[in-house]
Amino acid sequence: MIRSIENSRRGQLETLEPILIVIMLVLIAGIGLLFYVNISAGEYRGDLARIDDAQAIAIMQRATSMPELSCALSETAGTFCLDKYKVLAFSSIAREEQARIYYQDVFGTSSVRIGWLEAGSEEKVVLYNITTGNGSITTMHTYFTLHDPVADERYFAVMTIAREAG
Amino acid sequence: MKKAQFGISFQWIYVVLAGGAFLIMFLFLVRGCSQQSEQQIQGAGVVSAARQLDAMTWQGKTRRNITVQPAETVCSGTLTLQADDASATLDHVPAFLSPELSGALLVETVPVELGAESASPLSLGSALYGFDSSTYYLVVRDPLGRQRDIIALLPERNVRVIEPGDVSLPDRLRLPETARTGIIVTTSGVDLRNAILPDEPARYLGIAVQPQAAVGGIVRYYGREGASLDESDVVAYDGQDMLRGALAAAQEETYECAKDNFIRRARYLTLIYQNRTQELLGKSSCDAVLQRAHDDLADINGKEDDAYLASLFSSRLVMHQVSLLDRGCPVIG
Repeated sequence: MIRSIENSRRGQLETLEPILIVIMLVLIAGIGLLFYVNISAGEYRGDLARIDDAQAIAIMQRATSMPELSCALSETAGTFCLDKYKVLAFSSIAREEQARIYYQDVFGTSSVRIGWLEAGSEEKVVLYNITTGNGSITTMHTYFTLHDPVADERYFAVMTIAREAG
Repeated sequence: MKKAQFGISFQWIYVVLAGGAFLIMFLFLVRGCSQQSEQQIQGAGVVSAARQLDAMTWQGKTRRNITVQPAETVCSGTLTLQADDASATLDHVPAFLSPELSGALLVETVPVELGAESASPLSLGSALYGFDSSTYYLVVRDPLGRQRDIIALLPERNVRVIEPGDVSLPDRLRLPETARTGIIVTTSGVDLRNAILPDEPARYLGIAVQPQAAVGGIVRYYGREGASLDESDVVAYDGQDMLRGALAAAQEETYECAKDNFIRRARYLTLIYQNRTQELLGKSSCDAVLQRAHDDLADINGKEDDAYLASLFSSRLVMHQVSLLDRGCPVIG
């Protein structure tokens, strides 16, 4: 009787062995997968940050090559040159919602401001602004020449792009 | 004992079968997801190519390898207008690709100044347009009826839609006598034995798309009045102002899409130029010319689409630009 009970228990244990092995394997695989997902998520966040930076740079490059803003070839030989009066005209037009939506392909969800030093005083213009206020903001600056075609003066200027992520 | 061993073996078999079933299920799930991902990637690839082309038209002077999935015509992009030293040169074209172009492509924007003595060769998928109203082009397709992407246009008064079986081609299609007439063809079957080559090449601007594997067998000819052309090789879009040498496309739907994109962008540009000339008034000794330029821009901006384009591609703005440049005044744009 006792032997049969012992045999029965041993049989039950031996029956459970493969099941336990499978469960352990699944647990180990699950833990490994968890680590992998965490590492991948970290890499993904890093990639997103790099993409954000690249997009901000792309915005700057586009803005300085757009004929809506760039200096006329006949008036300056430099790159990264914006025309002062085009900037003012664009800023005025971009206050309309339709224009802002149209140029969203270029500037994205961001706020683009231009500041320059003229006759010792700081001038500022909001070139474009579409932001929702919901995502995190990444700010980048780039420096360029702002050309006044009337006075034929060139000012040191900075473009600040505050991009909204997400 | 043997019964127990036999029972245990059976249990292992159950475990293996259950594990196998689970694995097969997992594989099917993974395969289903990957197929879905592939479709998403393919769709995203088309969109990505369109966006890359769009970005190129905004930036200009770029050269990029783009992989395009076989898809319907991708109509995207906008147009950049850029004032040249001597004229309001149109730079960049709306980016589009014909359905025949797919795979790895080399895409580049080709900035060309008006008056350039040597023209760049065109390849499959080239879209070209010019600002010079005296430049003529002809739209061509191959004898099999397939539309090619090499584009040339004729000015409105010389545009004719060639019907199949039309044998009086030389009479109906009279090429204008000008050194700037250009005909661009893609295949044989175009008889230009009587063609007289002009001294100057045709002037054009555009974006060139070249298959990476090989150049698409493009031959470039020039012709004057009386040149003989095979009727099935020629198709032209009649009655459209843009045929003065502005936007062009191999298929009419992409042409219309490109035209709409262009108008939308050009309107903002001319509005900015108008506001700019307004700001410049009263600040220099160039008011007389600037005022005329401003008034013409205001007039152009007030027109409907087709009239707007016709006015835009007239010589009015070019003349003001040249006049301002000669006087050392701030130019229009």
